[in-house]
Order: sequence, then structure tokens, then C-alpha cells
Amino acid sequence: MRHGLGLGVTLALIVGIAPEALLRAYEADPSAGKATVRGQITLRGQATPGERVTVLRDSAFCGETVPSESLLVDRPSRGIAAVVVSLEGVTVGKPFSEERRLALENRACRFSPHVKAIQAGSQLEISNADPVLHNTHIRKSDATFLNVALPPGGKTIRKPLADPGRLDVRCDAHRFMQATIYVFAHPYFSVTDSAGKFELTQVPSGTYQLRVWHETLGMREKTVTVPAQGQTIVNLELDVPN
Amino acid sequence: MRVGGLSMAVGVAIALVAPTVADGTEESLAEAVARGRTVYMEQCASCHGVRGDGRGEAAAYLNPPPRNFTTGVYKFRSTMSGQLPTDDDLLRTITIGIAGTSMDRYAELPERDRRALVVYLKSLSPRFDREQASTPIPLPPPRPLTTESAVRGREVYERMQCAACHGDGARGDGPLADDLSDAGGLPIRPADLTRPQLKGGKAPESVYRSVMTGLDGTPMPSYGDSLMPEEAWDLALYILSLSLREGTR
Repeated sequence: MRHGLGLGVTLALIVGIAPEALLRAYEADPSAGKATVRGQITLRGQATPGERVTVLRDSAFCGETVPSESLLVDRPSRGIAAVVVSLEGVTVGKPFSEERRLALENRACRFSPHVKAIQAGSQLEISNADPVLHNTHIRKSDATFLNVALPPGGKTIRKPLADPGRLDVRCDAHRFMQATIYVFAHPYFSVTDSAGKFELTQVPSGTYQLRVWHETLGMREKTVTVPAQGQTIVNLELDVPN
Repeated sequence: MRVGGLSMAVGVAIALVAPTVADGTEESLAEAVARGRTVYMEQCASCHGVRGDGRGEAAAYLNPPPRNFTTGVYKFRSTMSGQLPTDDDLLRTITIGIAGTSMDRYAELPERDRRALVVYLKSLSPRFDREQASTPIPLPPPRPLTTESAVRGREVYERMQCAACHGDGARGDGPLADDLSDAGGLPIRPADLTRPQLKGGKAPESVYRSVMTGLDGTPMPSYGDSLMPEEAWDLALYILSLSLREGTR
């Protein structure tokens, strides 16, 4: 019995405890955090022109091609849209926002929104506005998170987004359709606007990791030290992958 | 102190998950894992690999490829899309096999060994420790298979656009059939539903379950949010009627 118990503990230690479970849970304190971290994420070198993707299925409805959303660059500033920016390491900080609902629409053979960040505990609401069959197939790491059929005229499907992590959203019926949902266990996250700009408010003083993720440019981290008040500007240039 | 608390928690977990074996004696989790491992190495490893990653010696010759147990993703479940299978789901697949594939039925293995295998398979993926145990979807009693139920089921088949993948005649030859891939990026074809054997089994409740929960790791989505139970039963009975019709030719 003693041996069995020991093995059980060893197994639990090896495979059972997720790294996030070892991190301290986030605590909200409305008085914590007075600084702002803002900046712009830009593309190094020439901005590539927006490509179009050939539609192989349902092109009578979806069209012969759809614009690629995999890298959206603002021409004058080279700012990159749809970059998920987060500040990792804040354990006590501002309260969560009121936003706890994420409407993910299948419309004109695209997912809308294309990239979205939201807090854990929110509800995902998936709907299909198109007259064709879609399915919303979501993967987290290498596991199925959800795969639901969305027949035309079907109802909105609601699922909880309980845990933090990155969700890769696809439609098997239309392989050019893709979206990302980033779920956070803290409120210090943002998605860059069309000029590549972001802003994180009510940040408490401290040293954190600014984490940046883009669907084709990958992930980058930068150590950021935030003073008690005022603005900290963090600009990052990302390279086009080889 | 902290370690003591952990040991106690694991002790409780063992008490909860240790299977009661056929002869009524309790088996500890560690004992079940060890025996399941022995059975696995004898019966399963040549295809599914010694690490359970689906890369056994024979794997290269098999289509569809053997399951990778380390991801915890299973096709045939009684649980909603994205959820872990129940022990009974895993036991069922081991017992009846998967028709039309290299996965044999292992009904002749003693139940004690099959249950130990289930415990071992679960130990191969961290998801079974990390995630909550899943509960099966409700399984209301089936409607009787009548001409009317099959006709209603055909209407559901059309309304849910099953033909997009499975084809108008349900032979797995719909417009999307050549353009689908599984979770590993390998090409995968929709099932030919007119065949006398379906992969999830020929029991009506197996067809019902596959429609409602989808087949995780494949493009087959779950219709549990789109269909009422009676519609899903009609659809399941229509699908079963296809192979009956085929059999009488």
C-alpha cells in the first residue's frame, strides 16, 4: 500500500500538475495599479501586400477568393494589427472588465472577430449567418476543445471559456477560415488596433514579461519594468519568418 | 506538511478511481496501472507504440493510423465534444473494436484485464489528471425503426447538410470528401454510412452518440447543440436503415 501510494504521488507530480496550477491565482484590488503601458508593434522591413486566398468550396456563396487576414500591416507606420499583447506576472491588480461574452460569428465565410482576447470564465457564443454549412472546430494545444456543426439557420451555440490558453479556431468545411481566441486568467491583455497600437492601463509597479503573440509571426517576450505612475512606452519590431 | 496534504489527496484519488474487479476484490490504482501496462505491452504496443504515442512497429502500414493515447483525444465517446471519454467508452472500444480498421475486438480478454487497460490508457495522457471527469450525454430511449422514422431521419440528414461530407447517397463521397484532414493533418475520408458496419459500432445508441458528440480529432462535428433527441434518433435510425437496405440487395 505504501509503495502504491508513493507511486501515485510520483505519477501525480510528473503528469498531474499543470504549470499554471502552481502559479498564484490573480487577485483583484481596485486601488492597485496607476501606471500605463502602451506602445506599437511593427513589422521590420517591407510590409508584404495583402494576399487573397482561393476558395475551393461553396465559392458560389463565399466568392472565388477571400482576403487573407494572416498578416495585416498598416502601410505608413508598418504597425501590425491583431497582435495579442499581455503583461505576465501581475498577481494583484485591477479588477476584471465587464466583458464576459464573446460572439464568434461565421459570416461571409469568415470568422468575426478574427483575433480576440478575453478573460477566463467568459462565454463563447458561436453563430452562423451564412446559408452554407460551417463547423467551428477549436483546438487547444493538440487536443480538441470543441467541434460543433453550424447548419444554416441553426441556433447560437454557447460554451464556457473556463481556462486560460490559446484556442485555434477552424472550419473543416472551409479550410481558409481561421480565427484565434486568447483566454487570460488576468485582465492585463490587449489586441493591437489597425495601426499596431496597444494600451494596458492600471498597471501596478513591478517587473513583468510583456508577451506578444501573432498568428504568423509567433511569440516574443520582453522584460518591462513599470514605475508606480506615468506611462511606459514599449515598442517592438517583429521579423517576417524565414 | 504540504507534501502530506498532497499524499492524502492522491490517496483519496486512488480510492475513487481504483476499479472494482470482477471477483469483488479492490485493486489499487498503482496495481491496475501496472497490470494494464503488462496487458498493453502484450496486446497493444505493436501498433500503438510502447509509449502510447501511436508509433508502434506496425503503425506505418495501418490506415487509419493507430490512436495516439498521449493526447487524450478519442473519437468514440458518450461525452460532449472536447471532453474526455468515460471509462465505459474506452472499455466499449476495446471490447468491440473498430469495424473496418485494424483495431480488433478484445472481448475475449478477461474484463479485469480490459478494465486495467482502461486505467493504463488514462495514465498515458495528463489530461485525465488535469481535467474534470466527464459525464455522458443523456440517452433517451430510441424511437422504433419504422419507415416514418427513417423518412423523418432523411429530412434531418438533408437539413443538417450531412451530405456536404457524406454525400447525397451517404456513401462518404460528398463535395467536401476529398478535402478533409484529421488532427494530425493527414487526409481523412467521411464514413460510407451504407456499409454494414460503422466504426463506432452497429448499436443504435452508438450512431446516436456519434451524431450528438462528434468524433474528436476528426472533422465530424457534434450536433448535440443543433438537434433535439428525437431528431437525432430519427437520423440514427435513417443511417442504420441504409446498411439494412444495402444488406438485402
